[in-house]
Amino acid sequence: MLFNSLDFAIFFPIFFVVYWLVAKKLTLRNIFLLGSSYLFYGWWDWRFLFLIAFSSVVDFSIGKKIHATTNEAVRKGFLITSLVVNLGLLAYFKYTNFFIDSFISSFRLFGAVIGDYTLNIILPVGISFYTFQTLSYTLDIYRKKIEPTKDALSFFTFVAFFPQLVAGPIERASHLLPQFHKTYIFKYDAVKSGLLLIAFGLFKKMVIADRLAIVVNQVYNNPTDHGGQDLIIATVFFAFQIYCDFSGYSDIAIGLSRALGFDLMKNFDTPYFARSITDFWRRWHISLSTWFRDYVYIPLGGSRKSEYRVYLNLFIVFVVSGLWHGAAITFVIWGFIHGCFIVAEKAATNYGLIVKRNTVFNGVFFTTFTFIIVCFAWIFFRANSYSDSIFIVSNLFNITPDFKDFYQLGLVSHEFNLALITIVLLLLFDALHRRYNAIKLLNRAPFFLRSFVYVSVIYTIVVFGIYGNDSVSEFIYFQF
Amino acid sequence: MKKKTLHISFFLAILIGFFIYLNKVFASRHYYVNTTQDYIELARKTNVDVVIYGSSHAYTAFNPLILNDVCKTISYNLGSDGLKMQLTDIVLEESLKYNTPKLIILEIYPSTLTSIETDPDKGYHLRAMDFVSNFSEKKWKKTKRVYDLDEYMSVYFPLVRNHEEWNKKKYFDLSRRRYINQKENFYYGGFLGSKLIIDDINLEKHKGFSIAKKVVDTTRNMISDQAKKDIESFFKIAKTTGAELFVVSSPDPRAKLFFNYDFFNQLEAYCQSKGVSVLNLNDYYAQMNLTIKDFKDTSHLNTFGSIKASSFLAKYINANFDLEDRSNEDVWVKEHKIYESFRKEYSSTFVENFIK
Repeated sequence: MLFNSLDFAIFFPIFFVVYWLVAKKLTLRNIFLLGSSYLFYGWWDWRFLFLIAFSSVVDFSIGKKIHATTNEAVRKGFLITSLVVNLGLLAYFKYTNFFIDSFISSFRLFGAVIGDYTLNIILPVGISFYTFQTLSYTLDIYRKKIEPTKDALSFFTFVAFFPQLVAGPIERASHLLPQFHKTYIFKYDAVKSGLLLIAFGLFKKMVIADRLAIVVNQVYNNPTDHGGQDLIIATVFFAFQIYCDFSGYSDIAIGLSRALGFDLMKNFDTPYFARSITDFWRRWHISLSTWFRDYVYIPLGGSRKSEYRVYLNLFIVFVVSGLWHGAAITFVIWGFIHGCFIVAEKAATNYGLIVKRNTVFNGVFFTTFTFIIVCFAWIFFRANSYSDSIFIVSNLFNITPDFKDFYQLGLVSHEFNLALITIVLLLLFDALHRRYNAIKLLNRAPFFLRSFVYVSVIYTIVVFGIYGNDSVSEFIYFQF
Repeated sequence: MKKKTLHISFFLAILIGFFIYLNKVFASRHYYVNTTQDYIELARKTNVDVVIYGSSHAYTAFNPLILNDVCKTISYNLGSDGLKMQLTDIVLEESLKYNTPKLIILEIYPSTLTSIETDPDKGYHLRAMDFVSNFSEKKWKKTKRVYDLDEYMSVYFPLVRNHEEWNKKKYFDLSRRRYINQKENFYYGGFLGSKLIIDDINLEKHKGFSIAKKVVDTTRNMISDQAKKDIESFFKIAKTTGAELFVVSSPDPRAKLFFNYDFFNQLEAYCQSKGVSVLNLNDYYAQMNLTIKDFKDTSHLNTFGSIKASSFLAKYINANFDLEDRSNEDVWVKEHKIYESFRKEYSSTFVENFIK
């Protein structure tokens, strides 16, 4: 079920009313929450519910076993079992074809004649997210940061919690799991603020992301038909598309959870105002970057190792992060580019090449520079193939004399202009939000003004949103 | 608590207020809005004794001005683009909320009895659906029958349906009526005539329409069980009013050339089994003096042809039904003034001679 679908628009109000009717009875509430989450997920493909259930059973059991023994070798054995099962499932569903392709390609390099071979494997929606979430549970138990829960129902609900099941934020058991152990009372202000966040998320997704996607898809699906100016426009549009798409999803997830009494972690913090790539990763997909920090970077030795080992660790984290996003060489290159800049920035800091980035001029310069790097990397992220990405990069400044009308990139003039306006509005909102916290500011406004803003947001989505005629689109991060 | 209730009530009030306003802004503007609004307006002034239902075949063929003149009655044409039998009964049901006709005429031709399947078909039917109240139970049933789940919101709310046209909408003009160029068309009482004449290629292809030998294949069932149920549903609602009722098939140049003419025989047999008579105007081309140039395209009459068909229909009504003479009523006199100007406008052709 998609948050921006009619199915969900019917599902959620019914769910919401029943949820608050049973909210005071913990077991009943968790049973209802789990059942609803499974319904939400099974709406897409019920067969993969077994996978979530299996993953939950494995980590629930292994978590208890790790905790029950003091024998380090046994503990490690259980942890490895959990890693093998979870990462094995992920590897099978997500990377089998990638590895087969890579294997065949490498043999072909040496002149071997091997035909194409691809397995017909469906990628279960959200597998990368819930796998990482359950893994963090066993890893934290192994590291004695948390104790295993005795309540299987709570654990299963924690894994399948529908607001964040398919695209995060990737929650830690230490933060989210205890929330399933208590009941909540209906808080008007929390529900109101949650619903507003949902509306903002839908606005980002339906008004901005899906509108920009029309141009991005047209150009990126046929890059050879376009000159440099189109490729640049489409790349910048993609930067905002993916931001609005993913942060929109996160807003909806956080908003839904808040309306139910739960608290999810922040996942985005105005990333395009970052003044370095390091800064960017403090603001972009925070739940994933901190996951990699805690479960990959630190176990590799983090910053405690030698200078070059730290660079290598950082580099590994970003390449793995690229691979996490998708089983293709383009994602690896995307991670590689970010890794290179992160390492360069770390080296610059180590060698004392620190530039003040908080003056107005430097701020604008570094923000713009960072944005350009991020956009450059997005080319590899979005391109349909390695050859497409190379074509786009090499033709980026190939500004054609027959300057193609931007209004022919899939959006007619008024729609294209609206797309530009929404980007400007988004940046203004982000700037305001970063400085003043727009939601708090709005909550302090007079009731009439607040109501007007709420109604405006709702009808802006209804009027300017991209929907209908089979145009309800999936969130980009579902595929990861 | 009281404050919160007040806040929520206020919020809901402006939410609903905006919703109503935006639905008006985004409402589809087409000629059927003129038709239905004029119908309601006329029905408020007086009882409309004769009402015609059907598709564009109906609204291009039968001009109420001529029926009014010949039958001394007050009539109206509620035909809607592409309207199939599947939804005609809810148009009838809705129209009866405003008026109790004495004579109900249902226009049927082969396409009327096919089911609504394609997107353009579904789109055309929204015109009729817009006429029917959103609170109608039958509308809900028809929506479920005809439209997919993801189309329901579009069926019910023009805002959802037409939101992509946000740049074309006039946000301060809530009229849904469409401007009709009376120089090229003639609009009155739901009738929409055109001065266009069938193009040369089709004229050549259909020129023998009146003398062609009928293609009759009695082995094929031309009226499905579902279509029969739909017709019966219409008859049932019509009969509850106590009105008289008959079915008409308007002239179509394809009837003898390309249709299985047994359709009309089967239709007649079925309707008669339900106690309803049928007038197939395709049997009377010669009596109507109809030529291929009386059609605007391959299936619709133009204004000239409609004068012939309407006149024939009016005479049929006079001969078979006993309608009250309304010619002494102010409303009739007022409406009849339009007829005078219409007659004047079309007097230069054969029309004048034909009518009298």
